[in-house]
Amino acid sequence: MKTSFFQFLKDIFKELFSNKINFVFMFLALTISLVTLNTIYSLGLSAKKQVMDYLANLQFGKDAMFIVAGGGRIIGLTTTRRDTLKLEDVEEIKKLDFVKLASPISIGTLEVSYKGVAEKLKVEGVLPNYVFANNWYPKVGRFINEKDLKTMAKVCVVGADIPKKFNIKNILGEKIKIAGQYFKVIGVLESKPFFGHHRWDKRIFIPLTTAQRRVFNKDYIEGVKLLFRKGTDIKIAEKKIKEILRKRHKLFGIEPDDFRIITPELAISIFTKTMRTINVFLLAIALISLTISGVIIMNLMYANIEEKAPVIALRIALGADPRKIIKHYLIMSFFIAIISGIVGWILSIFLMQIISFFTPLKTFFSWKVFIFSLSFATFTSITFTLMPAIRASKIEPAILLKTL
Amino acid sequence: MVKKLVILKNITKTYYTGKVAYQVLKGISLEVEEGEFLAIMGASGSGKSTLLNIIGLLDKPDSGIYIFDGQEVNQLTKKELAYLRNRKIGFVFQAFYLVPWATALENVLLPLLYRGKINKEDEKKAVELLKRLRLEKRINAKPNELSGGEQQRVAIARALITNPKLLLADEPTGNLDSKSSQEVMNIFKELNENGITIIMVTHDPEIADFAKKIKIIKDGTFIKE
Amino acid sequence: MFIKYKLLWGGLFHKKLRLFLSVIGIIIGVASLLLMNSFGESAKIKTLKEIETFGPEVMMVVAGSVKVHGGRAIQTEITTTLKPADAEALRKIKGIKYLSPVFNGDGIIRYLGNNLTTIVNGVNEEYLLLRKFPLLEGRNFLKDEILGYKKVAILGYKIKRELFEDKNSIGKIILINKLPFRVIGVLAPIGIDASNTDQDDQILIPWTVAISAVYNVDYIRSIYLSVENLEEIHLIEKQINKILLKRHKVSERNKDFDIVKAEDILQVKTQTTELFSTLVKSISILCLFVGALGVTAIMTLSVNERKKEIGIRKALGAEDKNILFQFLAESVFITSLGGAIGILIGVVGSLIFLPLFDYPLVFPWIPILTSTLLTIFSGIIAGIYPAYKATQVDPIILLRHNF
Repeated sequence: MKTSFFQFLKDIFKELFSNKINFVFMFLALTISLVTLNTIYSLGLSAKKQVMDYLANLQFGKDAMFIVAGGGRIIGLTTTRRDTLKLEDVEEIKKLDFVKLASPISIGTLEVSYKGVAEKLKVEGVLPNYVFANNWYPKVGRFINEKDLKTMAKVCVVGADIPKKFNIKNILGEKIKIAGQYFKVIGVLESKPFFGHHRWDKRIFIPLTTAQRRVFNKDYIEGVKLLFRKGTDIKIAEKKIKEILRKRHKLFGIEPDDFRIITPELAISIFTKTMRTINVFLLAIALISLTISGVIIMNLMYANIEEKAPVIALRIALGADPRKIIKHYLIMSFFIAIISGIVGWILSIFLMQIISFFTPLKTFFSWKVFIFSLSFATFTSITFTLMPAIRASKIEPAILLKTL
Repeated sequence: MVKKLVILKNITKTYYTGKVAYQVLKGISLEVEEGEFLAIMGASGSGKSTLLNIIGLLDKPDSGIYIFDGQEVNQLTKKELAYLRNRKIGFVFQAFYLVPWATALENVLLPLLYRGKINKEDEKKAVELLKRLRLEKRINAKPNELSGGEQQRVAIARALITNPKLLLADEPTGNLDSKSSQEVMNIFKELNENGITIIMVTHDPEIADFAKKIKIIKDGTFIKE
Repeated sequence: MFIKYKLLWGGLFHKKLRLFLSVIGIIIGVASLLLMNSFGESAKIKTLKEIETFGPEVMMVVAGSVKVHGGRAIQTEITTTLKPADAEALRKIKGIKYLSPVFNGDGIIRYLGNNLTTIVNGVNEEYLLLRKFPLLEGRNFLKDEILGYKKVAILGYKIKRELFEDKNSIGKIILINKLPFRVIGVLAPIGIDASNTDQDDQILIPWTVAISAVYNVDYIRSIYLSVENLEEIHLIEKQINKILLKRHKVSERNKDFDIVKAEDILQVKTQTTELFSTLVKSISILCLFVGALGVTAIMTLSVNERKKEIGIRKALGAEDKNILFQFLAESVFITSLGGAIGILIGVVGSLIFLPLFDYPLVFPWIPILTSTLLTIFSGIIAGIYPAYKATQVDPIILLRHNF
């Protein structure tokens, strides 16, 4: 039995390699389509992973949420009041059992200067827990502590780009001017990767109390970052927080929210939106080209079977089961699929290397793509071989008499 | 004086299979006069097909001189050779080589395709030729609907449509039963009597007997009569 | 005459299934090429249409600071220092064509039993002209209505549909934040504009009423203006900046307003569309390429099978160029046939799919032209190798027995 199966395989390969042109073109068509398909698919995965890595790096991967003051669209002009989100709201949200940490932020863009060099920068009033909320720690010095908060100290922690910006070598202990008041620098944060227009390293952090009373002179906050306990259902969390805030802000009926809730999922979809549309179109094109490859395989298989008709007829005349003929051609096409699937996968990795060389997109390695490549190759190849194979199994042994 | 249609002088031809050189023709000289009917006999591998390829301008000799219809052909370009084949030579093969998807009539007209236009007169002429070869009922038949003898007669018609000076036949009866063979050979004889020069390659002595002259080739040279 | 072509082309129709499948490959390739090109072209037009209501001559003065990101103006800070008097002061600048103060806020709208929330924009009578918003019915604001604090409203298209459906809305009274307004006009459908807001989902009222009766503030959110002459736009921007700095008594660094020009917003937007269009177009050539590969494959196969036919043609006097031309012509024929049908399907597909995906419908002339050229080109490319192979057939094979 084993030897006969081996013989069976040997026959298949012999037939496959006896007509190299046939084989090469089937392989080529399938491989070209697969390389494109794989590359586009992995680039899509890669872009998404880049965004997710970026967000995870900010503790915004999952089990987190950001509440922004002011209602309206996710991105765009605010259409409601923006001065209604208060620290008391944060206190109330903190009482929810799934909330692990709440880090309120008060933001303003202010003129910051040092020895005559001045620039408008983002200044954020934060609590000591900001470092945990954003997974962002000082490189040198320390972050704002409880004492700073209590005493409304005029101290600040700066982003990694700030010392260079103001050309300060030993920035610790130096005093920089923020909106006309002097602040002592107590720490420099490690550098954070940025994405889009969020330049993290250009920010300056001061105690929240100092910010509200001494700098911005306002009792509302711009936003609050929340971290949840593991396994929190983010949909339920969103609903509960929404209820609390609407109740506290006395919003009823169809009155719109005066805040916006940003979930990690939402953030990902905002960041990848443009990319995704393009990707869907490109994937569609690649799939179409795969279909064309399928038609080519079908065409060449028909031609091959036509050429081999006397041999097939002889086999049938000698009592071969038609199902075995079908199996013969399906295994042949499976073999082509495997080779193309693997080669297509390897070439797509090379292609990605080249693309990553010219664009900010990173190469992305995943066995998922390998499986993806193989399954699409197999599906296409087998589907389009089915009809020719059935045709082969129906060849009349009578044709033998004509050809001989 | 009768004009010499084919003059071969000391023709050699060597084939290479891999690294092994195989000299097929070892200095063949031959003169064929217009109106002659020559049969070249020889066993397979004797070089008779190669010789026919050279005479038919399908292949070039390695050395030696070939003068066809008063023209030295060694230096001619591919294009000029194609022109000569089209105008002056007709071919008849053992396996007929009819174009499978074309009708008998269309097959006969094929050589004229490479002269440019095919007009009504050409068609009339082709029909007449087919009639002469008693194929009037098979004009629109495809080759696979014809018997071997009929196919060969279509092939002969195709060879004659250009009014060639020389008819080259390669084992013309090789694939035919004896009745069809007789028929084909009688046609050849009749054609020759009407003035066409015929060179035929065969290994069948009975067929060769139809020719006016027989030459025997062995190991790349003619055996002296 | 006919026989000549039969002898030249007959081989093509000999194996119909093979011809059919080769043509199918090209059809799919060309149809998707055309379709994708139509999408690319249409995406460009879509952007152009969005830009129309926010033309290059339009500028916004926004209170607070604004960042332009991904083709959207994002208000990052809001201040209350931009006053109606600032808008009046700007009118003195020469070269300004239209100018409108804008105060926007959320509003709860009621009509009979229907409730909904939308954006209420307080503007003046020049706003519609400035934004080139066409009216479906009714009329624009009158200057007297703006100055006279009249409670009149112009409805966005979607708002009108939701509140009134097919019924007449002109002259009806609606409640905006519990205050009664008379409907005087309805905007034609505009869609999402360059600032990424749905302009059909809004209500326009006089700005005077917006800041007094409805929202009770003493400031405005922005000033929209357009210039007479596009070349002067930078000059006018500078003048606006100077006037407002002086009026607000602030330095350039502590500026409490921002000026956003249309071109700032449009640049990114058109770039993205360009990228989309180029990527989709170039990758879609792949489909045609793979289809052409199929033609090459089948033609090469065909040449192999028809060696005897080629040999006999040569023996009968065909020159290499005759053979080359014959097989080139065959592959060009296959691609052209597939191309013609593919273009037909592609055009029909575009006409069906473009509206389905909310892309503006345009007859794809340019894609048709490019597809046609590419098809012919690919036919020749596809035929070169097999045709060359055909010329290499040596007629001496005819005399080899047992061939």
